[in-house]
Amino acid sequence: MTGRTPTEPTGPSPAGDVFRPRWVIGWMIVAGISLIALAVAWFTGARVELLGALGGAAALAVTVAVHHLVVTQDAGERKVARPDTRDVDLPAYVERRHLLGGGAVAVVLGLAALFGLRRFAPSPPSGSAWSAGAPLVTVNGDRVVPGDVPLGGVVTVWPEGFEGTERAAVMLLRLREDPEPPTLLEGVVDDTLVGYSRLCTHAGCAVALFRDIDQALFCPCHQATFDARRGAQPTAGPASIPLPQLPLGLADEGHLIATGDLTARPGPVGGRPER
Amino acid sequence: MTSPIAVLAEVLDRRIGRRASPPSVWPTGFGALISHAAIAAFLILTVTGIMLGLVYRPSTAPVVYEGASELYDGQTLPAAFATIIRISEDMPGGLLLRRLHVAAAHLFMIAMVAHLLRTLFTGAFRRPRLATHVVGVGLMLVALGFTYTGELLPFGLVAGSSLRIAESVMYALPFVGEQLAALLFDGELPSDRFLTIAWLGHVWLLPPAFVALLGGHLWLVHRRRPALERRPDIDVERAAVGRPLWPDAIARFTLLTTGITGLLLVSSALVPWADLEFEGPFLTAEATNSVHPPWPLFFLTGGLRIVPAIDLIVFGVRITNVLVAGVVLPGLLVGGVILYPFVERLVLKDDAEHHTLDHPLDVPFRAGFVTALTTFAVVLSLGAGVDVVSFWFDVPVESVVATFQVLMIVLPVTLGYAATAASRRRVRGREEVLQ
Ligand code: FES
Repeated sequence: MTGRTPTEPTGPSPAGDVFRPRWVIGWMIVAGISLIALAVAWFTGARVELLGALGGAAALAVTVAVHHLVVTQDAGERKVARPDTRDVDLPAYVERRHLLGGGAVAVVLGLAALFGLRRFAPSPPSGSAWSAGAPLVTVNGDRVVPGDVPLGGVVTVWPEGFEGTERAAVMLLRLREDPEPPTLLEGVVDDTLVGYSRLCTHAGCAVALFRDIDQALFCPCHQATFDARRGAQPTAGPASIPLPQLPLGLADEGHLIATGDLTARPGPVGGRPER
Repeated sequence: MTSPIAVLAEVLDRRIGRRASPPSVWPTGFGALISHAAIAAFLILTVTGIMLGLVYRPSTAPVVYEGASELYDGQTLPAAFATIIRISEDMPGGLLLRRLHVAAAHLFMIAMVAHLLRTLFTGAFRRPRLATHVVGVGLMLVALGFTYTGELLPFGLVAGSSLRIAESVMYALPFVGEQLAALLFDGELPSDRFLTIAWLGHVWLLPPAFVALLGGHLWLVHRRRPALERRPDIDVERAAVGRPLWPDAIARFTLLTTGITGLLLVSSALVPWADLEFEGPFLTAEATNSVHPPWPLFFLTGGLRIVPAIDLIVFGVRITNVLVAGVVLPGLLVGGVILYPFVERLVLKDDAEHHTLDHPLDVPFRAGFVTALTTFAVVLSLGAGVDVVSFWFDVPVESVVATFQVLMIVLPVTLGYAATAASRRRVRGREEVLQ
């Protein structure tokens, strides 16, 4: 029989590990004192460093004491014959028919659940809170005029009345160069001001970063990159479809409004073939 | 008249102690300590969790925080985040409890992963321990549920992103994804719904599930007797060796628990495990420059990062990166772990019972398969750091992603092959010695 030597020999511990009650009691006293100190420190609102040190000291003192007990009181390993393998409490041998039966029940239940889900569960909203004529406002509800967005800047906006909601969040960008198709050019104001949904089409994070050098929108969650000049088409990373665009227009009073809903449902692409 | 303590000791001794029948035999060596450490960490998590749960409020309603935190005094915060700040800054010992909870969570997951790897590499899952293995994988999944929901509870800056990512994975499922996602995630953020679900799971559903599964796992371990490493003095196929649960194994477990508690407490005094003030509360449509989940979930986010952008429509099903990385790859990993024992039985045509923990290189097929599976999981997990690697080495993130795409395939194959070869060599060497 090969194999390495067991970590511990069978039988009681070798002589020499004499039980010393004083040692155990001493360390338990240390633990008790630390615990009392911990309680006092806790109620006087001491710093976390002190509390951690005192608690740690108490637990480690107990550890030393228990270790001595374990080492000196050890009765050694015991050896028992392996029991009858056909265990009566739970069949060690799962029969094929059990598996098949269980599988069949699972399939039936699963199909019923699927059907119920498709039949009764709500469907997700198809559009967003944007509609033609909705004024663009900041999170505080202030209407936005084109001059509010500096070159290379990003302003997050919402339709008036929906400030701070997640699916309707749109970022306004001031591009360095004029956008090109497939950007919806009728939806661009001032030649360089475009609006895209803030929700990543990959998995729905906030596309939080705008890289001025290559006019790229960048999602910090899994590094999807979108070309802001070309309709926010994905250029790198895991996203496969562009960010929906918000068609922009100017109201007579000079503030920005939407001229329609987002070009697609905001957020992740989902598993349905049509979108 | 005997004292109640003596009676209790007597009962324990007869039930699970030195005079129990059938005899109580528990392994106490180093390998067993790995799994015992997971249980010890779970105990610490339970105690700290109950204390934290008394104060925590799963609500996103805006409240004005007034207290010791200079950063947030007088600010309007979501109630959940405000209670976290209150626990950390205003309650005595609160920060220590939060740090201890997080530190114990790290240890918990490390021990669980180590225990799983040990089981797979040593063949501990073979008959009659197949059920033990399946229950064990269930424990692992519950633990991952703890990790995900636990990350959401403080409602920090990226909580919205974590939620949306989970929603998008569900949404990517064919046929029912939309309905399922609408059912669970319907509504706009900030909304209490998600937080309530996460809190229900983390505090009320997952702990009993874990305890129940753990009970089943331990009961099976007890009934089947431990599988043991080969040793010169005993034929472990015929005999089991160990210590009775009471008092020997429990004394050792107590030793381990107090030791771990002490070390974690000291580490919590020194390391800011859970100080998230600087991350800030959830803000709609905002994210930090780099968004990362806790490490046990890296394999999911890594897949989302390194699987290429896909958009295929096959038989009315839209296949996207999210479906592959969020459903298919994790499914393969978990399925591989659960089903491997059954595959091995078929491949090796070995249906017999085994009570020996093999050397990891004893069985070429196993060595290769488990190495490949582990490597795949590790590469996926490391893929979560493509942005960090790109930042450190100043290479464009696209090149890092491309490298990982290659590694994801090449490394598991090469290392798996290497392990098989090494294992063959070892087996042949042993046969020569025997002849
Ligand atoms: S959510 Fe934006 S890249 Fe994944």
